[in-house]
Amino acid sequence: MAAVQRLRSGTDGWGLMPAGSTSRLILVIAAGVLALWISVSVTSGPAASIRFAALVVIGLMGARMLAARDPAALMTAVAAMALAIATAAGLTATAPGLAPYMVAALIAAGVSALRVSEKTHVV
Amino acid sequence: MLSDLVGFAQSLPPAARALVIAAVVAVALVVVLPPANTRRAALVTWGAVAIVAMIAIASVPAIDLAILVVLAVAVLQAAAAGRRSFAARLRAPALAVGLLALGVVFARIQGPPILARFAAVALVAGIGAAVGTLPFIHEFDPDERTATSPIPWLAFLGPALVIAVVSRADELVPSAGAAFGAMLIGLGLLNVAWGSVGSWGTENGTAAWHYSFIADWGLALCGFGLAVADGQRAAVLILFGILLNRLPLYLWSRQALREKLLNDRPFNLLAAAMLAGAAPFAGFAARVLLLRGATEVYWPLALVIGLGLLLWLPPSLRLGRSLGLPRGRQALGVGIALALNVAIGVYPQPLLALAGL
Repeated sequence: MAAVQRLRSGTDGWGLMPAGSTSRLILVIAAGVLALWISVSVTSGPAASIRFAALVVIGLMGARMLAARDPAALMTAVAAMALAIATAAGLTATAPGLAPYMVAALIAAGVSALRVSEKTHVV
Repeated sequence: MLSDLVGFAQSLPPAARALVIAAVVAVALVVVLPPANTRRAALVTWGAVAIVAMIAIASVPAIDLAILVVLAVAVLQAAAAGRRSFAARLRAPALAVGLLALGVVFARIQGPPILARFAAVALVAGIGAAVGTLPFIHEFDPDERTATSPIPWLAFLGPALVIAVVSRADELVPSAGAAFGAMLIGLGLLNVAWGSVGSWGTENGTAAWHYSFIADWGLALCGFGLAVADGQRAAVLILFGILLNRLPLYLWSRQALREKLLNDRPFNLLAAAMLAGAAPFAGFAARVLLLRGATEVYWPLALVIGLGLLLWLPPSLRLGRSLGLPRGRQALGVGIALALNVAIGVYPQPLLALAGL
């Protein structure tokens, strides 16, 4: 019902939670509480530092990749994400071997060397 | 042993092997009988890259490696010249990588049981984002070349990644297996409805094909979510259909779509019947297996899926018409695709046996 009402009236676009709105404020508080709870959950027990680092880097770099438009910023986020994923491979009960670290290092090095053309081609 | 040190003993699961073979046949079909105004060299190159990526994703021994391969493929595809910006092309696959990685990390944390459910949510969302289904439909430009568009994710990389994740779900989220399956079914039903209605209602013919891939994926996700043998068989048959039929027909229809040539000849109606999953085509066998699997799990679900299947007919007629009047090589190609589909529909057992099902 909310979606239909939003479709029929109001300004163009979704604009469900404009800056300063009550719903946005509530979401921010709820997200903060959830993040705090997850942080408490992952920072206890063995290998807590690796878990915490992997979660934070994956989360932040994921957000960066969604928000960024500049290829250089995106490539940096990709490199960090690859290294964080490889770090998370170390959380398994059995040793993952060198493969994830080598592949992540190759991706991180590769994206640093990759040149992206923003020219558009019509084929 | 070097493989023990590196932690890399490659093995291709049977379902993935069967899909790779289907991908090779699909690429060979399109290369031998190329669509109009398309260079064979480009088809060979992009087809080979897609098949290598599929093999890499499906054959690596750990889910972390599969996610890393997906990330590398996403960057390489986004870096190729295309109509959309680099950021627009990287965004959805990058979101998929982030979600899958979060799911894997949550799955490995010893903590409250709800963390396993978070892991299941992230894994299902990651699958949806990688394939490009609702609510993560990839941005689609109808005039973009196929290789740099979202179609390779729907046709080549999606199947390999989904098999890589679903086959490890029991090991990753053993306590949230039911939630994982239920979310796949829910996402699948949503995409069946959205893809069919979108394919029917959208103004652009190329976008209609894009939506039809999404609708097919909806059925495949339902099949994987059912977690019974018939559901898995149905899902694999639908993925075969995407690779061997929908993808080649989409490529052969592009010239007719550009020239806005529509046709209602028997040939077009046959293609429409194939796309709609009518008997005796492979889609029919897949749908029967899916309904049987759904009945096994929870019969009202079969009713919902059955209602969803009715939505297939109008968009399929539209897509069949959009093939125009295939002549020469393209007519031969469509004929081969139809024959292949009938053969699989009448006797799917060899393919299912190849997939280990």
